[in-house]
Amino acid sequence: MFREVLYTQWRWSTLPVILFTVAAFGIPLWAVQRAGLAAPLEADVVRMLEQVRAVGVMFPLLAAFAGVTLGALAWSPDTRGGHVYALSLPVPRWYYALLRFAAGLVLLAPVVLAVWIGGVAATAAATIPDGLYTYAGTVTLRFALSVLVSYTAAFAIASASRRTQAVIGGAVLAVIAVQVLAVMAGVNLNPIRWLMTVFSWPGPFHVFGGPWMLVDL
Amino acid sequence: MARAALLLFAWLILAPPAPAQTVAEQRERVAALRERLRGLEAETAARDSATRAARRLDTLRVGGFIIVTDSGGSERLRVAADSAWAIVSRELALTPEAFRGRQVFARFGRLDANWSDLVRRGDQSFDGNASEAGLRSRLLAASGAMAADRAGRRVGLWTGAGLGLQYDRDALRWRALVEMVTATAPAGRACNAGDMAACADALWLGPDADAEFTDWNDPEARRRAVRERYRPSDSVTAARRDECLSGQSDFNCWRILQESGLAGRIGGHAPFSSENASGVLRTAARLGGAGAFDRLVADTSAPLARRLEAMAGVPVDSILRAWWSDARGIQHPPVRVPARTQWATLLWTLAFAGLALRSTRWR
Repeated sequence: MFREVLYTQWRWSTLPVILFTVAAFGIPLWAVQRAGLAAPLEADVVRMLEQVRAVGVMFPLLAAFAGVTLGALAWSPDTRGGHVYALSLPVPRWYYALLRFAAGLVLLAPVVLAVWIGGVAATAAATIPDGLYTYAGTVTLRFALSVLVSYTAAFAIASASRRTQAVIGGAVLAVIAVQVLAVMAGVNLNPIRWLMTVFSWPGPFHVFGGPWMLVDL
Repeated sequence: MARAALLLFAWLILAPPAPAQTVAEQRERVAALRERLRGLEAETAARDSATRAARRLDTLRVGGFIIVTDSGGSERLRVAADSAWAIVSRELALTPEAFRGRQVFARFGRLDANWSDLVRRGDQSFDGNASEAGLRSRLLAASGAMAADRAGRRVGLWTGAGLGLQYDRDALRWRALVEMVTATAPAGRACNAGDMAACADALWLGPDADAEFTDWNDPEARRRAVRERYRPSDSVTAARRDECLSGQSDFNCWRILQESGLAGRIGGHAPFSSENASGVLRTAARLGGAGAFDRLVADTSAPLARRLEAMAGVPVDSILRAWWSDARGIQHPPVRVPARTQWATLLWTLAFAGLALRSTRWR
């Protein structure tokens, strides 16, 4: 049964998965494109690290985007069809949801793998000066964890009732609205900062906040 | 006629020597000269003031800056000057006296052909049409140029144009750390390991540095640097190199050294860049506190290391140690995923997954 669920989910998500995989492979190559000089001067090393740092921002963005997209796509056809297909199956809901969850994880695996392959290929092809080290494995681990948690969060929200989704969406919009009003009224209130605590320890998305340097000291 | 010449010659030989000036007389003459200088300055200031009034120019005095502007007293310029002066006085321990007699011209209006006759040697001018941050950075560049002018050519060449004031402290610390860690020259590597004598060599502060530095900065040394270190990449740069090597164009030697990045490194072949030199200069200013810059410029003929010691009030080793520790202490997060982050992420994942699976009914 898992194969059927995986196959149907793959059909819904083919294009995003291919696009994310290509991007995941390309970002490491982009990050080290300045590391091609045979005998770099110190200024070249600084420029290269700046490039690695700037492009490194793309890793968490891609992780969030891939996780949220596949998490949402896992449920959207079921939601549109009123869960008729799922209800026709002789399995409990938790089991069906588990199959959907696992299928999404399998589809995200090539994206994570592409980051690792791209990272290894990019750092092998580039001339890395002495004193600098490559971190393809560490960046891949951080990327995998980021994809995992963002996918699971999006999957949980997508599997919730419309009412729950409306409450979550409304709460986020309310925080933004309060922030805008506070700025307009000149009140020292920053609810967006409260919202952003999810990205700091021990928030669920804390893993996004670390260094994303493919090459560093 | 011959008789008159003979008499004059005899008088020159026999006449008693002119009495030497006493100390009191010398002081009196110095005081008179100072008085005359003050009078001339006042006269020039009055004339400049009249010219400015005729041209509807204003003068802003912020910290040590005397800013002449045609903006009618731009608030943005005043705020930028405040902020620039705070940086300059903090980073180089400059006092308002440091820019005495120097003016900065900030022009906001249309180009005026007569504007340039107000700008005298040592003054700085720039287009004032910029954001507050842009104005601050132009004022910092102007301050760097004026301070470098006072500090002398040796310091200016060592730290690069503008004494590196355009860089903030963290950028310089980061640069120092990267250059230390990635250094390929033995002195750079030893400096990275904490050998301060090696740091002095790498920063062109060793015992023979002044002689070599001076040497590298004469035209023949520039030609030698180009001959030994520069490989042209195309016919244009090859032609420039040939003109440099044949002695036809010293400008091309400079241009090659600048464009190839060789001149950006102290002395052309030292392991560390001129940005690191400005980091050391600023460390010395910080250690020296009030009056540090005045002590740096007190004797511009002394070796650079001695001048830095006078500036900081401590031996050059201590200055380098402080600079080294400052660079090593920059906050640099390690590239790893801590175990607690891994576990926390997995627990949150399980929690979200549990929420998704917990319900037994379809929604």
